Amino acid sequence: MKKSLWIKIHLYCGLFTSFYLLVFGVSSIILNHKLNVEKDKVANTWTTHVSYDPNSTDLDIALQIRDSLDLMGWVPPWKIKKDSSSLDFEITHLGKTIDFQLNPHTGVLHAKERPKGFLAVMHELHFFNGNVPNAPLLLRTWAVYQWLTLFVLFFSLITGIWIWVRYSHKTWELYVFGGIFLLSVILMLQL
Amino acid sequence: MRIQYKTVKKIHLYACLATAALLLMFIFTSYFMIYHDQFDHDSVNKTELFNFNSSSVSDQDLQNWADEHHVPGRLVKSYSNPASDPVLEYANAKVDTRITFLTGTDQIEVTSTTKGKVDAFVRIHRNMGYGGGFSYNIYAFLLDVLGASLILFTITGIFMWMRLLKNNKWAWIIFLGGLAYFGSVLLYLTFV
Repeated sequence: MKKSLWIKIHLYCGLFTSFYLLVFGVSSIILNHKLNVEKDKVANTWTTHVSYDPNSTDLDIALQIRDSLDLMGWVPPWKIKKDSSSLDFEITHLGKTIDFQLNPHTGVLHAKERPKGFLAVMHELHFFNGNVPNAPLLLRTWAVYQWLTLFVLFFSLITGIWIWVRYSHKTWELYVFGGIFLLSVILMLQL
Repeated sequence: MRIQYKTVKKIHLYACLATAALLLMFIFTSYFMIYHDQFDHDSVNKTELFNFNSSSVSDQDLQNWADEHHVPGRLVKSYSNPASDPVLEYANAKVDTRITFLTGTDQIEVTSTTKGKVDAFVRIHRNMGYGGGFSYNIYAFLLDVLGASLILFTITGIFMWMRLLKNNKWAWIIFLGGLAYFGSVLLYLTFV
C-alpha cells in the first residue's frame, strides 16, 4: 500500500476521534488534579402540581414524578430525605441537577435547577456510556460513537506508528521511545 | 512567526510515541469497562490478626506498621469506624487492604481483597493523582503528559491536515460530521 493511502487512513481515523480525544485530554488533567469544575449555582426555580401513587416507596414516587414530567436523569436513592411535611430528592445527569421538594399533602412540587456548566459536561462525557433514563436518541447513540471511537482510535494509533516505522523513523527515536514504552509498562505493573 | 510544518509533525509524532503505552492501556481497559458484564469479577478475601504492643495508636503508628509489614499500594483513606477504631485503607491495582486497630484488644486486623485480572487492569485505568511514592508520582506525571498530548494530537493533526490535505472531501465530511454530532451532544447536555 502506498504511503499517501496510509496517511489518508490515519487522517480519517484521527479526525473521527479528534473531539473525543480533546474531551479526554481535558478530563484526564481534571481527574489527575482532582479539580472541581462543577458549578453549584441555582439558575432557575419552578413550581408545579404532580400526581403519583402515594402507596409507593419514596424512590418510586421520585421515579414516577421524573417520568410524568419527562425529565432526563438518575434519582440517587441516598439523596432522598423525608419528613412529615416534605419529600426531598434530586434528579441529576451530566449537565444538570434539579433539587425537588414535594409536599405530600398537596402534591405541590418545588424545583431548583443547578446547571453544572460546560466544562463539567466535557469532563463527565469521560464516564458517559449513553445510558441515562429518559434520554433522547441523540444521547443514546453515544454508546455507538464511544465504541466506534475506541476501535478507530486503536486503528489510528497503529497506522500512525506504522507510518513512522515504515517511512520516517530514526534509530535514536526507536531507542528513546521504545525505552519510554517499556518504562511505562513496568510502571503500570507496579501500581 | 510562521510555524514550520516539520516542527508540528515532530510534536504530533513525539506526543503520540511518548504516551503510546498509556494510550494502548486505556483503549484495552476501556473495552473491559464497556463490556464489564462479560468478564469474571471474582475476588479473594483474607483476614489476619496481628498483636500490637500498645493500647493506643496514632495514624502515623499505623502507617509505620503498614510500611514495616510491606502493605501493598498507597494510602487512600484514613478514618475511624463506628466502634471508634482507627482504620487505614491501602490500595493498588490488585489488592485492597484495610488495617484496623482493634481498641481494647491490642490487635491489628488486616483485611485484604485480591481482585481478579480484569478488575486489576481496570484499576490501572482508574489510577490517578499525585502522592503515595515515587512510582505513583511518575505515573501521575505521565498522565498529565498524556492529557496534554491528547489535546496536542488534535491541534497538530488538524494543522497538518490543513497544510497537507485541505481539499480532501472525505476528511471534511468526517470532521464536520463529528463536529455536528459532538457539538449537539455537548450543547444539549449543557443547555437543555
